[in-house]
Amino acid sequence: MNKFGLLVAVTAICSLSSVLAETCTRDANSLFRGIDFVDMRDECVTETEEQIKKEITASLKYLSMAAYFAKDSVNRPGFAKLFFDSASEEREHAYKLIEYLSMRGRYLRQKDKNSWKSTIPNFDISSLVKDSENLNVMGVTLSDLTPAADAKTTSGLIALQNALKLETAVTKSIRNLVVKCEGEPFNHYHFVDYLTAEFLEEQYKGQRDLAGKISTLGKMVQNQGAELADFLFDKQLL
Amino acid sequence: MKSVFVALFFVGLATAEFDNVNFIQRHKRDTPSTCEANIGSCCKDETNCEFDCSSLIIDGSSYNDFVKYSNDMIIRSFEYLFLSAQFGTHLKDRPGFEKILHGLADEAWNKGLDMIKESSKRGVSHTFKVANDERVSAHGDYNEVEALAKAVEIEKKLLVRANDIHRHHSHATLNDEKAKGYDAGIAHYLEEEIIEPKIDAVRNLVGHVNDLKNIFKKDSSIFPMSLYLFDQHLQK
Ligand SMILES: [Fe+2]
Repeated sequence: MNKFGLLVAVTAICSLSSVLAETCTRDANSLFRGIDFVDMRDECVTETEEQIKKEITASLKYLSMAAYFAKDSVNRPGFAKLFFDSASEEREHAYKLIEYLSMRGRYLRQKDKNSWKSTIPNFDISSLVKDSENLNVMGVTLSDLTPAADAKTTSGLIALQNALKLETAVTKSIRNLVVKCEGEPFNHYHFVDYLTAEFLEEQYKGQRDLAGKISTLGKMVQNQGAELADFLFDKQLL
Repeated sequence: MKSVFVALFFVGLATAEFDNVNFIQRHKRDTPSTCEANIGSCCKDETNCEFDCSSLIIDGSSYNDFVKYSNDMIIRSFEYLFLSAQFGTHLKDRPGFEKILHGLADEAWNKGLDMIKESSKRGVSHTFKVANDERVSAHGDYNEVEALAKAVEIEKKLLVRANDIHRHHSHATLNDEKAKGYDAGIAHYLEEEIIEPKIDAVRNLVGHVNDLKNIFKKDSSIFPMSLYLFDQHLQK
């Protein structure tokens, strides 16, 4: 059997006749006709999907920052680790929101009577990956991580400042999501509570952490010895 | 002296093909054998510290496909994540299928990140600007069998490509014009971290698909029951 023979065989089995197709695909739609528990409104769901995209965008931005610090010419393993971890965290956030939509019966949206589809897989991940090195993210302009030779700053400090800008933008976006989902005519009490308790909580703590790091490193970088300060601070992050 | 520097600058450009423009402008890279010369001149005169020492042992552009592949792993990880999420919905409610697909998503993500770290060890500057344009294709309604068959397809394509990249970096290319890509360390990394796990993943998934196919073929009328039991098997 050739490489894709198996796949062809399986899909053929599943679509040969309508009788077979019905047994190969469980027809769940009919089970929920008339007993629909799904009450999240479209406006709130659409905004949540946008938020998922932003979490993925932030994740990939952090990944590009991590890759920068992993370069042999930059050599900041502590910052690389910090941002690799942040990238994975943002990816988790995206999945947490997907799971929430799923819990409320809204990950797959009903297109028509018999077809359910999520718009989330339509995100062009390939473009998001390619654009992850851009300095404009989510309406925020970030700084180039390599400072000019005479600049009184370091890659590490710029990266922390960029990260704080990014997180602030995410926080603002979650607040907007809360506004969208909490208003009339339908208040999504539970979702808003979830966003406030889980997401905003993490945002504010994360922002405080970054701000503290910026302060600590910033004071060391201000005068002489910026590069040494960056080097030492990096080791503390390991 | 100036002309030497200009020449080295262009060598630097060639080896740093992947660097973004700003990075190239600010960091000049030395060639495999010029670290001491360049850094030595810096020690005599700190205004002469333009060059970075580089870990590259072969031309940086040789890692083009490796870099591209790691980006594609990131893209595929999201494809698996979305596919997995479908089976967590109340409409499908197959936690076992969700679990196996989510496992593939995590594996692709973690390996993608690990490959970035690995290439940074060779002096390659990772860039995200190169990635296949292939869109995430796992849209819409997938039934259980289709989802696993889709996973087989993705894993096999990745395995075939990992083999190709391995050939490029292995001694198989030594008599070739393109032997400049030879890197035993990368070849070994691909074998251990990418190819061997992928061989297991493909075999595992193909086994599942064939089980389901055979069960369906024999007793299609009880297939919903079969899927229920199979899902429980996948949850273990
Ligand atoms: Fe987040």
